[in-house]
Amino acid sequence: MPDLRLWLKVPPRRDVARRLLPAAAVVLFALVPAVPFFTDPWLRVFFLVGLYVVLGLGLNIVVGFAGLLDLGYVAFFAAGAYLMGILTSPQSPVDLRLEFWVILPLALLLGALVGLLLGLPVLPLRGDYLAIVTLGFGEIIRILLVNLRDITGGSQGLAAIEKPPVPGWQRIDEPWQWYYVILVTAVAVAFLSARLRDARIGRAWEAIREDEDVAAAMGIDTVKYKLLAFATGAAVGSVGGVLFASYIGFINPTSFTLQVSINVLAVVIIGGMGNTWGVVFGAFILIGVPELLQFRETSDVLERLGWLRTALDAPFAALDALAPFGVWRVPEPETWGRLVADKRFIIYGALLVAVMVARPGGLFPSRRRKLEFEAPPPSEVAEPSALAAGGSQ
Amino acid sequence: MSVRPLLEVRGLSVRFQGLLALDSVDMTVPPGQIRGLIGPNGAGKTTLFNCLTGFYRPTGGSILLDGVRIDGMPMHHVAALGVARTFQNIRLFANMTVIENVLVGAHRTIPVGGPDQLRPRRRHEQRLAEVAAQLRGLPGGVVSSLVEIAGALVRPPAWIRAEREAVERARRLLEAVGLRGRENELARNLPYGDQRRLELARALASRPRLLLLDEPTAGMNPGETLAMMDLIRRLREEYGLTIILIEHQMRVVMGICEEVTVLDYGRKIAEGPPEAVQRDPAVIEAYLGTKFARQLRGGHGTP
Amino acid sequence: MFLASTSFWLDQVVNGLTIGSMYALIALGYTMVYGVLKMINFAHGEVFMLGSYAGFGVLVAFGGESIAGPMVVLAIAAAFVGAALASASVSVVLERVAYRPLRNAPRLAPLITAIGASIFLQFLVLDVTGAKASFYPRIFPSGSIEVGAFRITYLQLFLVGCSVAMMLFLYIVVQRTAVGRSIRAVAENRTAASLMGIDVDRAIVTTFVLGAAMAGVAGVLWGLFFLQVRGSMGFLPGIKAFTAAVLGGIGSIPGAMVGGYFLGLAETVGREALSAIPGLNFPNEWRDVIAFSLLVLVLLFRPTGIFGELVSRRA
Repeated sequence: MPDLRLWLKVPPRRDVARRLLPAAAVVLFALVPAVPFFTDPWLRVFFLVGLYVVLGLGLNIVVGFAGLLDLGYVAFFAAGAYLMGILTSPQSPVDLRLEFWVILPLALLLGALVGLLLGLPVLPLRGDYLAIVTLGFGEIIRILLVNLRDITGGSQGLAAIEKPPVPGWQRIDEPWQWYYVILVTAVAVAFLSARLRDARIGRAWEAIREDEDVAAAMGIDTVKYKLLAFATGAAVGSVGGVLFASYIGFINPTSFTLQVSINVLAVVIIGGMGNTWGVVFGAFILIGVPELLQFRETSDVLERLGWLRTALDAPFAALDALAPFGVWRVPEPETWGRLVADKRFIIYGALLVAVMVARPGGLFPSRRRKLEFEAPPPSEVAEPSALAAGGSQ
Repeated sequence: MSVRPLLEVRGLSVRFQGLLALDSVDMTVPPGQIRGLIGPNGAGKTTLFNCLTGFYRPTGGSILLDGVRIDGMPMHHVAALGVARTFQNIRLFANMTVIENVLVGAHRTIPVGGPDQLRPRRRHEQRLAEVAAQLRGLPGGVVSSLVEIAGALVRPPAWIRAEREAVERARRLLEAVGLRGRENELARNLPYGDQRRLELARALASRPRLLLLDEPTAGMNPGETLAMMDLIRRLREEYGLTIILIEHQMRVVMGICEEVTVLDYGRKIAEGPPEAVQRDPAVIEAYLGTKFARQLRGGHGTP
Repeated sequence: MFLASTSFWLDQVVNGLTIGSMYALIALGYTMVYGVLKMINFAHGEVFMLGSYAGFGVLVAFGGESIAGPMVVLAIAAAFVGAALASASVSVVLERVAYRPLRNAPRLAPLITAIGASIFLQFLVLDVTGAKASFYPRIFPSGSIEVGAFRITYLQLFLVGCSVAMMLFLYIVVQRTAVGRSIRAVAENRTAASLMGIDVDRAIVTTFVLGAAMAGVAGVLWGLFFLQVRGSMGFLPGIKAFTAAVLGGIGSIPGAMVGGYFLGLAETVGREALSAIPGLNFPNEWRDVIAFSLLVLVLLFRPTGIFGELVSRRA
């Protein structure tokens, strides 16, 4: 019954381990709140990581699948967050008191629409124009948020944004509840984006990424598919915005700066373009670790590294003793975590360059999936051709 | 009574700034023919291909495919009307697998999300008109896109059937060009000759009526060349194709082309059966002094 | 109100030309690199910012606010040289580290390293300076020339004059020298140029150096005019200068100049003109929005730029 196998994506037996692994990981993630060690501050960090996984997977559709560089992803994130804020905050002029679950699909639509409107003038052109236009658009959004005071509350922002109600229960508010919300969302987005990737639309995106002109010659409406990638990514970003606004409860323009776009882009690129696990890993390292580094526990641990500091500081101390002027000294170990967190954007920038130069596919490049076949016959031995080297790119 | 030509090129001109790359070229190709397109380097052969596929917008003249005007149409519309091509310097989707390359070629033939709009449009002269046309196509495009995305996410039985049939067909095509068993290899890892064959399979996947081959035997050894000639002939019969091929090897042109068109400096200087063209003084003059010309003159009798 | 006064509008024109001349200088770097590598050098705004800081350093070394008399000329000239050198060195390093290894990589890769380099430089400077602004010494002689309703300060005159001189210099270098010829050859066709014996690497580095030097000088002019430098100052001028380059037809040097002036005028005179329409009000911050909408409109209707020649576009 090959039908059923394809539908359920039941893999050939040898791939079962590869398919079970994600399921096992999800179960493991689901158990996290049950571990007493992970207190509320931990869960809040994990929520943030999960949020960036969602955003990263959304941007991955644009950058990883279709190869379009979007540097203003924060715009869609802001669109969702402000939709949630405007429709539920008592401070907004159009407080319709809509519930979270109504707004979520609206945000999906709004995100796709904003993506479509932004992409329409630019996507028929070459890729680099998209990068600069989105970069500028991210900035414009911030200006709009600050200046459209009547609607967005200006730089004050909007407060008292609704939490999602659960029928027959309470509103979702506790960190562990939010943890599950983001976990479910991330898994859903990962699953759906994998399905898109493995369909005709995903192949069209990849073809466009590989060679746009040839893709068009193959009958692919490149503008349409680029728009679709852009709009789909935007819709995911917008959903992320709704979750963020509802979780945090108040929003103002400072949450929607260029830094957010940089964060998401770094998560996607450094984690591995096109690769779900790469995005998860990237979000943990780039978003989670800097937060965890600022924990009391971390500085407590780091404090014990006094010996390391003494060792590192020795040459500076020696110089300091000799020089007539003050010499830079290695700071106290307990401040190291915060130092790294403070300088994270410098590190991101350097990493983006380093990763691209060293491994253009990201640290964990997407492994080529195989389409299912009955055992393929052994391939003939490739005859060495003198022209092979010259001809292939 | 002649049959209606599949391809009719009338007074086609392309001007790049100062350079006249094509100068009122006329060409008529009846259905089912294998037509050779030859000429010295820079004669405008590839430019003509680029016009036929919609990659360039000609500055003058017209192109009719089975009576439908296709010049100035977006590439994907031209492809949808049945024009497929291969490239002189192989252009595969290097980081996709062999079968995925073919599936991309089959894009239009996979009925997911309903038919893409195939409305051939009038040529758009102005950017403004183009934008307007895009906007007009928007509602239909939105609907078909939504259906496609929903299909990919939900995977209803019809979707699975379409996908399975496409995979099956892609495998058959790969078998036809001799790439069976290579489905899951990355395209860039194939040896050179196989890459050419994959390009052919990918082009065939779109169910073309007119197939444009840009130097299909370039860089091949005599054995491979013979095999490729054989393959081209076979595919023409099997799929009822009309083929135009750009070729530098006279052996190939003489071997499989029923008629030959010769371009030089963007102008058509000769046309007719290969033997006649070979003797044409204008052609000999165009090639004179090159190694190729000697081969041409000494090549009488070689198949 | 609408026809406030001739002098008001003339002031706006002068302001527009002043800003525009700086945009034009920065835009040259974008357009030249694009012409040669077909790539947007996102870090160019940061190169401009570093030039501005270098000029600031030189002026401080000369004595800051206490510079007076003929020393002003010397100090500013030294600031120009220092800024151009600093910007050029950073640009050379950038090209070597972030762009050259990816010259044959997929198009996305150098774009990403460019944005990465831009982030790195911007946040590095923000970190070192504690995100605080530094203030250029106010050394340029104040005063202005007035002819009827027309008024231009010495500083503005100097700015516009300097930028025109720099552009003329660049134009001569590119059009009349052997180096310029090799740059044009590489821009036309890299493979052919290398076959003709042109050192492609050197031509590309020269392009970066020339563009960066222009940006460095623009950085000093910016500092003299706005009196403030900070780590984030490169971002908006960078985007706008790119807009100017697109307006003028990217890849074209005269286009970048014209585009720069046009954009400067559009966001000063244009914003005031729009605000003067009853019912519309565009606060000063909206000039960024205007510049940006202009970019989108141009891309939409004339991707080759307002002044670029319309090459037979592929369908």
